[in-house]
Amino acid sequence: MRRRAPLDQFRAGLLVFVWEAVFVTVAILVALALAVLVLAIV
Amino acid sequence: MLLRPNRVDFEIIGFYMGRISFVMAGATIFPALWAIGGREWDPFASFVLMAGVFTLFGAAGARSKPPEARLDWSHGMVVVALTWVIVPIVGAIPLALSGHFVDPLDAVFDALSGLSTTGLSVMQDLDHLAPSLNFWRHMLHFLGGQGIILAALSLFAGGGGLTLYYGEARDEKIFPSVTSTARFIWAVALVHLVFGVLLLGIVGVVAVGLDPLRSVFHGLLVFFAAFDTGGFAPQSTSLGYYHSWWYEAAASILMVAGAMSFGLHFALWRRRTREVGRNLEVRTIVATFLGTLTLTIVGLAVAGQYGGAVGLSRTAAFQVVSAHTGTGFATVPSSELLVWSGLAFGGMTIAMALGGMASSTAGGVKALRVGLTLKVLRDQVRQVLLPERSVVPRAFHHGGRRILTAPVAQAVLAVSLLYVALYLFGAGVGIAHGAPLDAALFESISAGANVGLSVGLTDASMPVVLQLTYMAQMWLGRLEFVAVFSLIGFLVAWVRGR
Repeated sequence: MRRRAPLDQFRAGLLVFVWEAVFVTVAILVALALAVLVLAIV
Repeated sequence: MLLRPNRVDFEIIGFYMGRISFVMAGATIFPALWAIGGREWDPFASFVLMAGVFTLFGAAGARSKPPEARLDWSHGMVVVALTWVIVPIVGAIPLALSGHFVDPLDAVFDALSGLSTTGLSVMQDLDHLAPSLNFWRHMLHFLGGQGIILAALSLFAGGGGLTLYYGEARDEKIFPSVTSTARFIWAVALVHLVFGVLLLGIVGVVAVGLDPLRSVFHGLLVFFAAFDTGGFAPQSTSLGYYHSWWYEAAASILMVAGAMSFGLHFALWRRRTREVGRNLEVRTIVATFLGTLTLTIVGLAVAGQYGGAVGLSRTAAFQVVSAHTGTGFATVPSSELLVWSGLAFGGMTIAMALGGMASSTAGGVKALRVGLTLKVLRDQVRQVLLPERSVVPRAFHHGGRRILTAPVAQAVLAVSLLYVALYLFGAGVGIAHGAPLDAALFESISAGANVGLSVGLTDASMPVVLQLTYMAQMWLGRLEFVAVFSLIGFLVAWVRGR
């Protein structure tokens, strides 16, 4: 395994954290859209 | 014929258990320092006592000097299963002495719940618990979620690391060396610790109005519980205490991170983002998340709960993320969760039962097993429908192209069935104690899948048999059966072997 500098590791970790935040944002928006749709039908 | 374990077998097991006990004794330094900082002398004394007991175990283990300290599979599995019995018992000492539990069994229940990242609790008056003890119970999540054995593996390599690693329900080796893999898992945790506590700390001050020091303390505790998909919370009302949409979103990021396999973390870490779209496990968990979210929203909407779209989506999304990742945070009290209508209740129950990804800190059947089970079913149907001589490709993508062999399919189906049996067994015991079917099933799945959401069956006055059943479920669910069955086999061989 190629060793990476700690700063590189930290930056890579931050990028993963951002990906997770994007996923949660999309999930929240999907839930909101679903709620609007379901309330319109019910 | 069963082979009775000999003296060398016991010496090898004792030797490794001793080393793990020393690691646990070392881990006690963190809550002890917290107690010194807060001048909490009674908790400090209980931490010293706990460290002393762990050190005694360690010293006893160090005295056994096996001729060759190399673990084979049976030794490794027995060490893992026994570790997960002894550590909760000794780790419960500070909790038992805190005065917040009716009896020592309740304290062991909470310690096991913490270590197995379940989050069910029978503690009384949590809101007046000493901060160092609150820190310890959340640190149990961190130690158990990351893996007690993994913590030990990071500090000493030694022979037999692989069997210990697999015994603790991890089946993904990211690097050729187990020690390197263990260190990568810790690196992921530490990076998330920094960003997670920072985010929760800022949100706590800005959106909730906590003072900065308290906000960082809460942020650290919520991080332990969210990233390790545990479910304990600093306050008795769980995350409902903060009344903040922003705080729930920040905690959700950490819950998602905790439920992701470390293989996926590694792929993203190396910027292999295409893996996200191709991975069978990611596709499965996204599909089951959307399915259970839809069920829950429809159920709540039909029942007319939570009014408008914003309130409805906020409650449903947070609770389904909490259930599906196996965390167990709640923004609604257990009495309110109990009256959720059929569909919403069903959505939550299914989400809990399925759980997060394999080789993550989450519990449950796991998305990889669900995806592979569905693939086996689909392939069987295709085989029947296609001409007799046609060959159905049995490959899937999970960190690379893999072939679904018959032994893998059998193992997947067997463990999935064991989870179903575990859920049903706990539900049966709940019903036998007078609980309604839906509540008994919900609480049983919550224990067996290491989630921690409760509809009120788990409390200080619960029957001892039910309590022991949930403890067994937490233990079996966390270790995914194999290590526990190996321990039982070892004990049977000891008694009946030749």
